[in-house]
Amino acid sequence: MELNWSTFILEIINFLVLVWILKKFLYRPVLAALQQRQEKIEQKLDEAAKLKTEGIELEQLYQGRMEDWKREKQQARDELHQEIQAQRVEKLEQLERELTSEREKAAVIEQRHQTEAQQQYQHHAHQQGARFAASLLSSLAGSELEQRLFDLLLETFDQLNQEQLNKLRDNCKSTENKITIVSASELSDNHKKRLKEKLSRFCEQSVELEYQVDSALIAGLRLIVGAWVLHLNLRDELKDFADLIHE
Amino acid sequence: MRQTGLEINTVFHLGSLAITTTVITTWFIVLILGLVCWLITQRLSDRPGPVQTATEALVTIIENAVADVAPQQVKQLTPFIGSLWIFLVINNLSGLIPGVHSPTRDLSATSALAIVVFLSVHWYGIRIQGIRNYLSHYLRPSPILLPMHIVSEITRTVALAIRLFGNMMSLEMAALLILLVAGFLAPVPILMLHIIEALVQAYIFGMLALVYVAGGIQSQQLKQYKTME
Repeated sequence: MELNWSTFILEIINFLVLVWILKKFLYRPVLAALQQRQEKIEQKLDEAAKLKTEGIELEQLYQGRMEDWKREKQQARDELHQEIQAQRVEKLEQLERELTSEREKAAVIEQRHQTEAQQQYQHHAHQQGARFAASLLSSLAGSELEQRLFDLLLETFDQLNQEQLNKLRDNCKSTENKITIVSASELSDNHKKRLKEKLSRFCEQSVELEYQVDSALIAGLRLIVGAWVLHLNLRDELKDFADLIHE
Repeated sequence: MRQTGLEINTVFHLGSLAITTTVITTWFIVLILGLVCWLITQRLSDRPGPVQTATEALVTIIENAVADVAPQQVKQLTPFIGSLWIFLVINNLSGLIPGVHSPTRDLSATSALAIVVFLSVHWYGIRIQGIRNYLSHYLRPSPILLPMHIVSEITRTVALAIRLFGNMMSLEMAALLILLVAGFLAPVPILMLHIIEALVQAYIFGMLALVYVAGGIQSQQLKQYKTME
């Protein structure tokens, strides 16, 4: 245990050299690396905090937008619902109107069909009635009825008013006084003579008569002067009666 | 004189300087430490491997230990105190290598380190506080206590050197005696104790040095703090 001054001095130098070496090759580089890493970590933490802040802001922004969208969606849905409701009411009213109109049309058509059927039935009944009357009158027709109808025809001439007479005369002129006489049976000479005298007197000229027989008239006469026709026979009377009823 | 196996031998002379085994061992330690540190710090990256992580952990632990005692002078004190710890741990453990003795088993080496600590206390105190302010703390609380302060400085420096030297010397001597008395495997527990003792003594030496240096700096700061109050 003795103090060696050479060792003492050299140990001091050795230690000081070691301090310099460790400071240069250990502490400075390691502390610099730690500092650099710490700065990077702080930088990343700052960036992360910034990103977090931005994320929170964006989240709040998007939440606000979502709230707005929800509100707008609800509003649009309410409006759509109201519009659909209004359209439904309108369509129902329109459908109701159309149904009413269709019902009215159907009622009118039904009424018309009923009327037409009724008229058809009536016409059919009238025709049947006319046929029945014609059949009945055919069986009842005879010389007395012929005579009576002939007399009525001559009386009819006497009852013509001035206007009718004028028409008769005009037609006589237009047909050059040719008058067609259609009868149910052959007229007697007496009847032809009386008829010619009567017509000549009313036409104020001598007329030329053409006689035709048509048994379909049942009984009576039809007198044709151009467009002017005067009839007094059962067939035409029944037909006029049926037409009158039909009208 | 009979050889005990605990003598410090002179290997050669460099002029008037006697180069002992202590100095040669210390040179090797300084060389290896410098080389290892240089190799490690050449490959520092942002994604550290196991070696870099261990190195960073070591530096961080030293820095935190210094910060606990002198938080305002971490940057100035960390290289000195850290070097002291690392140097003493390697020095103390080098005695486990067969044929090599711990440099700290040499009173010259421990005295040199104690003197370095003694000078560092004043160096850092004067550098940080200024020579006038630093020296004035020896006159407080009363100039009468100046001799006591001087005695305290000397004794604690001597104690620093003797404590480390005595512990390492006694460890190696105990191991040698047990080896001589009991045989080949008997000193193994003593060698385990050597490891623990090496770490503890390095820690105590470095921590005392830190406390002394920080005390020299903070005594003036304490005065300034009281003046401000």
